[in-house]
Formats: sequence, C-alpha cells, structure tokens
Amino acid sequence: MTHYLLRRLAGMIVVMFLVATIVFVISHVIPGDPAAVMLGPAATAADIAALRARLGLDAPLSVQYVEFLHSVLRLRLGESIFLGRSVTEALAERAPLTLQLTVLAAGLAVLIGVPVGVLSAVKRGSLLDQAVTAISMAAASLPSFWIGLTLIEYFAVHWHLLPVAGYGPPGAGFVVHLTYLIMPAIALGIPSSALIVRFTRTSMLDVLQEDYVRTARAKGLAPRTVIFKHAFRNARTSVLTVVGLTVAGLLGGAIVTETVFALPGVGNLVVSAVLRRDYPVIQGALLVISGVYVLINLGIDLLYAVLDPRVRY
Amino acid sequence: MDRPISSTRRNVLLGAAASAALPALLPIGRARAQSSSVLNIATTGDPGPLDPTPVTSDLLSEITQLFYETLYIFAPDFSISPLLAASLPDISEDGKRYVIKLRRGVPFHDGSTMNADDVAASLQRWGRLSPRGRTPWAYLDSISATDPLTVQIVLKQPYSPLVNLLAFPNGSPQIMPKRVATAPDPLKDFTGTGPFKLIEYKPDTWVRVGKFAQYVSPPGPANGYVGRRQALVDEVRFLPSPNPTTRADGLLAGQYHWADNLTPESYNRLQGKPDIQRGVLTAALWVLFIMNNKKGVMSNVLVRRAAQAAINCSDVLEAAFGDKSLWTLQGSIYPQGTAWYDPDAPGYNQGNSDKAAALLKQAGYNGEPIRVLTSVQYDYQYKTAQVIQANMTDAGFKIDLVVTDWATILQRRQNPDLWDAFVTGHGVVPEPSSITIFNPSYPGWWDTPAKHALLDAFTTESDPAKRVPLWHKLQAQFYIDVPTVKVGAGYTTFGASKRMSGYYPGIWPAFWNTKLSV
Repeated sequence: MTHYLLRRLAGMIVVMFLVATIVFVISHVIPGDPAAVMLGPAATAADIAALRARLGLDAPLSVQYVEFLHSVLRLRLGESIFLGRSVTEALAERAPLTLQLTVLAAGLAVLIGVPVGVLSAVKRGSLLDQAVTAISMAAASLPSFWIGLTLIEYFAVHWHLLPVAGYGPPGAGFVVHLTYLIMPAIALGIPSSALIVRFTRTSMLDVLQEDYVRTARAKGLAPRTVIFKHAFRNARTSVLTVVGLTVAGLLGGAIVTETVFALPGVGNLVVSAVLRRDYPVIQGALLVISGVYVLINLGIDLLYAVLDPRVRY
Repeated sequence: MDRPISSTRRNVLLGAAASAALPALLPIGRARAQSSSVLNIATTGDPGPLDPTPVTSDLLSEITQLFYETLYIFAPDFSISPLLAASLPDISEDGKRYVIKLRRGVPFHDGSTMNADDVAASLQRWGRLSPRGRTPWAYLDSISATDPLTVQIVLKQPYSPLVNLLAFPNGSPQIMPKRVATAPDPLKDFTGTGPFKLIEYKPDTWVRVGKFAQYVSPPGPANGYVGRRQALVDEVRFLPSPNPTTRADGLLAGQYHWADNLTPESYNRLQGKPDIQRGVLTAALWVLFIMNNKKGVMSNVLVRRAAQAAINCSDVLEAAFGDKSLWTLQGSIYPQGTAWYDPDAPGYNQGNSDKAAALLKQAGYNGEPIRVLTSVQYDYQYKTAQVIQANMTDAGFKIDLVVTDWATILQRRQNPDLWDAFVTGHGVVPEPSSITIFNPSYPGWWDTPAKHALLDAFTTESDPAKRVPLWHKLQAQFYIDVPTVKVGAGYTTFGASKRMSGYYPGIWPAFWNTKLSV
C-alpha cells in the first residue's frame, strides 16, 4: 500500500505540473488585458501600457512562467492583479463556503441517488421504476441555473421561505449561513443525484442477476439482507466511482450556482477572475481545484481497498 | 361530550403551526422584520479596490460618493456648484490661475478638519493617478495652499475643463487627508468627508458604509447631487448580485431595497407590484457605433457617412431597450435642458439604404468585410450591433459581427488592425472634452485638423458663455467627419422598494437623504 501511495503521489506531482503549465498558457493566450479592464473603458493605450508596466505584465511570457512555477513550488500562488492581495488569502476566504455548498450538494445527491437507485432496481419494471427513470432523466437534463432560478421564484419570491441570494448578514451564525445554502445545494445536487440514481440502478441490476444473489434468496434470507448485505455490498464499488466523479464535478458546477445565487465562493471568484483576466487568480484557483479533484480520485481508489477485500495495492 | 383530539389531527395542527412560524424563524423572516436602519442595494458586481481616483468605474463612483466628496459637483442641468469649496473659483483673466476657497470646519471621518494642505495633496494624487487628471496636470505649473482655507492652482496654459473635471465624481479628485493622499499606493485608508464612512469591504460579499454622525452638509436645498446631504439610515450595504434576474428576484422578495441595470424582461416583471416602484436613472446612456478612423475601410469618410445613412436609430433603440419610455432619439450629443444641447444634427437617423448604397459606390467600396466588435455581456450593445448589422447589410455592406467578451474587446480595440467598428455605451459627462471619442488617442482615433483646432479653442476658452458656441461648432464637425454614429440615448432602469424615499436616481444613484420606512 505504501509503495502504491508513493507512486500515486509522484504521479500527482507530474499531473499538477502539467495542469500548471496548461493553465498558464491558456490564461495568457486568451485575448483580453487585465490592465484595460481595471482602468475602465475611458483609458487610453498610454494609461494601459503604464499600468501593465507597474504590474509586471509587460515582462516576457517565459519570465512570467518561470516566476509562476517558482512561486508554486514555494506553495505561493501570487498576488491578485485586481484584488491587490494574495491569491492564497482570497481562496482561503472563499473556500469554506464552496466546501459547505459542495458537501451539502454531495450529501443530497448521495442520500437521494443511492436509495432511490437501489429501490428502482429492486422494483424493476414497476410503475415506481418507470417514474424514477423518467424523473431522473429529466433531472439530469435540467441545467442547474434553471433549477436555481425556479427555486428562487417559488421559495423566495412567492413563499418568502428562504433568502434569494448572498451568504447572510454580517455577524450571522453558522446556522443562518446554512439557510442561504439550501437552495444552491438543491440546484447543484439534483442533476448529480439523477446521475447517481441511474448508475446505482444499473449496478444493482447487474448484481441482482448473479448466482450468489439467487442462492441467498433460495436460502430464505430476508429481502433486506439479500439487497443490502449481498447485492449492494458488491455493487457499491461501481457506485463509489460515479459518486466520486460526481462529487469532484460539483466543484465545477458550483461556479454557475454561486453566480446565480451571488455566493462569495471560489466559483464566483473564478468567474470574476476570468472576466477581468486576473491571471494569478485564474491560475491559482484552477490549480487548487485540479489538486482537489486529483485527491478525491486518490481517496476513491484507496476506499476500494477498504470496501472490497479483493483489491490489494 | 368533548372528545380528546386525535393524534393525527394534533400532528396536522402542530405542522401547520410550525409552517406558520417558519418564516419568522428563518433569516428571510427576520430580514423583513428588521428595523428601518439598513439599506440593501443590489449591485451588478463587486466594485474591486475602493480607490476611486485611478479608475472610472461607475459602480465604484456610486459607492464611494457616499464617503468621499469633491471640491465641486454638478447639478441636474450640468451647471457646477460648490461642494467642499465655499464658492466657485476665482479664475484669472488669462485663464491660468485658479483660487479656490474652502468651506470652514469640514470634518474628516478620522476627526481631523479639512484644510488647504489636504486638498492640495489630494489634487496632486489625482493628477498622478487619474486618467482624467493627467491631462490638466500636464499643464500644471504649481499648486499651493496660500492659507489654511485657500488653494491656488497655476497652469502653464489655459485649460477651461479643469473646474468641470473637479466636479466630476468619477476618476476624480476625492478629497482625503494629506497623510492618506501622500501615503504609498495602494490606498488602504478610506477616510473622507462624506455623510457615510466605510465600515467594511469584503470582496464579493458587501461594501458596508455607516452614518458619519459629525458630518457637515453643504448648504442649500437638495437638488440632485447639489445641496443638503444627510445620512438618514444607519447603514448602506452594497451587495454584489451579478445576475439581473436574481437582482429583480431579491427586490421582489424584499431582500434588496434597490436594484438597477435590469434587463427589459426583469424590469417588466416589476410592473404592478404593490411594494415596488420602478423608474429610470435621470441621465441616459449614449449608444455609440464607433468607427475606425485610422485604418481600414472605415477610415474613408464616405464609407462612414454611408454607415450613418444606413442606420435606422429607432429600430436599433427599440430592439436594444424595448418600451419607448426607455429610450430617446437624440441627435444632439447632449440632452435638452443642458447648456450643451444643440438640435442641429444633420444626417442623424436616416435609415436610408439607397442613399447609403450610393455613398458606398462613390467611396469605391468593394465588399470588404467590416469587422464589428460586440459583446453579449451588455445586452443592449449586442442587440444594437445585430440591428446595425441588418441595416448596413441592406445597404450593401458586408458585416462580420465579432462577438467576444468585454475584456477581449477592451484589448482588441487598442489595435487598429483588428477591427473596423465597435458598439459601446457612453455615460453622460458634464465636461464635453471628457467625451472619450474627442480624445485622439481613444480607439476610433478621430483627429482631423479641423477638429483638433476646434477642440484646442474649446479647452483654452475660459469664458463659459463663449464655450457654448464653440461646442456647437464641435458638434457640427462631428456630423461632418462622422467618426462615430450616435444612435441615441437609452435609460438604465431601476426598481426600488416603496419603503425607500429621498434617493436621487442620477447617473450614480445617490442614497444620502434616503429614508427607509418601517
């Protein structure tokens, strides 16, 4: 296991280096100038050139790239052009909200997706199964921003049950902050839960046809024991894969949701950074998100060994 | 005989009671029951660093005008009034020396009192950092505090826009203590003289400003930005909400008291709502189709005149802004009611594709593609570009609509090889020479000898009465050279809670004198 872990960590370093390079190149190749955005539309070419020089944006790309890699190796992500503060600080300020949102959405997706998928597989062909299939296909097709705007329309505007947007007033406690995350978490979690329903159902159907399941039934075991102790236990590694991928994907989905609900999270920061061409923030945020994605995948792979005794590294 | 209530019925009643109590328990319930002391303003986004001097962002001006003030300010008719100055400046006959007397006893938020040294230092900072200040400061000979309440500015040559620029709270010389104005950049201390002071700026979350109890208002009745200013709420919170639908929803739900820059669809949703009042900001945006006078097909004045002839401004404005109450046909560069208004606009709003085609033939146009830059980030600009494309295509132009984001447009338009025209909006500026297209360095690069001479005469003429006819000549030259097609004027919409009163819906909505009833 140790050898496997070391190999994976070495691989992570290579992956992160490639990500850093790709992100640097892409963010500098796309047209747009952060100095022009900062100064506003009335700025002349001379104003823009002066600001670029002050910000060090007129240095050759190769020099900027080396400086960027150098700071990443020192675990520093640079300073935001627009915010005038360190990228690490800006991310650290916003990460808790995005983490809360992602955990809530993931929890919702798993709590709905797995049981409903299992039930749908067990009741295959029934009216329930057909309804679940139809609803999950529709839910997987709905864009999260549309779900979000619809939730706002009814739960906030018509019924005044939940706040429209933002993250709570100054001095608000943790519970109040969480109420501002209910609708965003639903908007983010619903399409993901639909995917989990579909995969869980498929995995369960495969397993339910196995001989050992038939044997378990023939032995007279209670249906609940057959389903959870024998069938689901063998289906869960496939389910775990899609849950892991879905949860990692929620980080990307949070970008749109945070914009709709005006949540000051990492996603909102990335959108603003792209619109403003705030290169250090774009680079830093995407590096961090990629790192989290890679770590989640590593965690899922390690979890296989825990859940399935046949898996040995 | 009474029967005991069944458990089912009890559960139903308890559930109903809990549901009724839920809004009061959840934050939205508490927000609606909140006192009248906090005003929640939804903004189009985060303002970024709060230093108002180096940038010309309208959002930043809207926020910082609550805690900073300028020496002068302009009235709804664009006349200039004193704000921190005690009176209009004494200007020497040669137009080079300005003596500015300051109001006595104006406190800063840090408890100190404003004096001439503070003003001189703030103006120096403005000249160094502001895109609007650099031009006049290139003519600066000296600036000094001749006594604690008098500032003297001496220029090497006359520059008559100076006072207007000192009255313009956008990229402007906001007055701050000398110790702040002379501190190294970036600005970290936001001490000003305004009716509110900065409490907290949390990026992407809020800007909070609180009542400054020791504020001393300028005299006179309130008239737009001029006159009496009072902080009538304890706090104003600017809350970023980039999605216009969300801004409108927040207003409808009572979470926001004010939301502006609404799309036509969101604006229409507010109609007839008992708790909401709708309106437009007083100063309309000028919609411009700016052409490349420096290089390419559009550098030929006949081709530009053909474009002007082809464009049907009514069609464009209706597509861009919707209802007729939200736009105006306006050939005069400045609106009626201002000293600069001039109805003489030959060639405006023709929508004549035959005439345009004839001009194109005369110009020797051979169907070269005309690259028009636009962005969907500003809905009205994109719709403007689409209708202009249709108008010009009917006349025989070959239009290549290049749709990118705004940051790309800002970069590309600096290079005359990359575009032939772009669509933009221009906010109203009280000083005509501040209009971007009159700057020969601004993309578009309008710089004919005739215009150059007229602009020089305009900016060196100190007598305001003589400047007006010079402006008329400049506008006439604008319609001869046709560097840009002014399509018309469109209004920025807003929605406000009916609990709000006393606000001024100017170019930068002002929330002093604003009350929030319970």
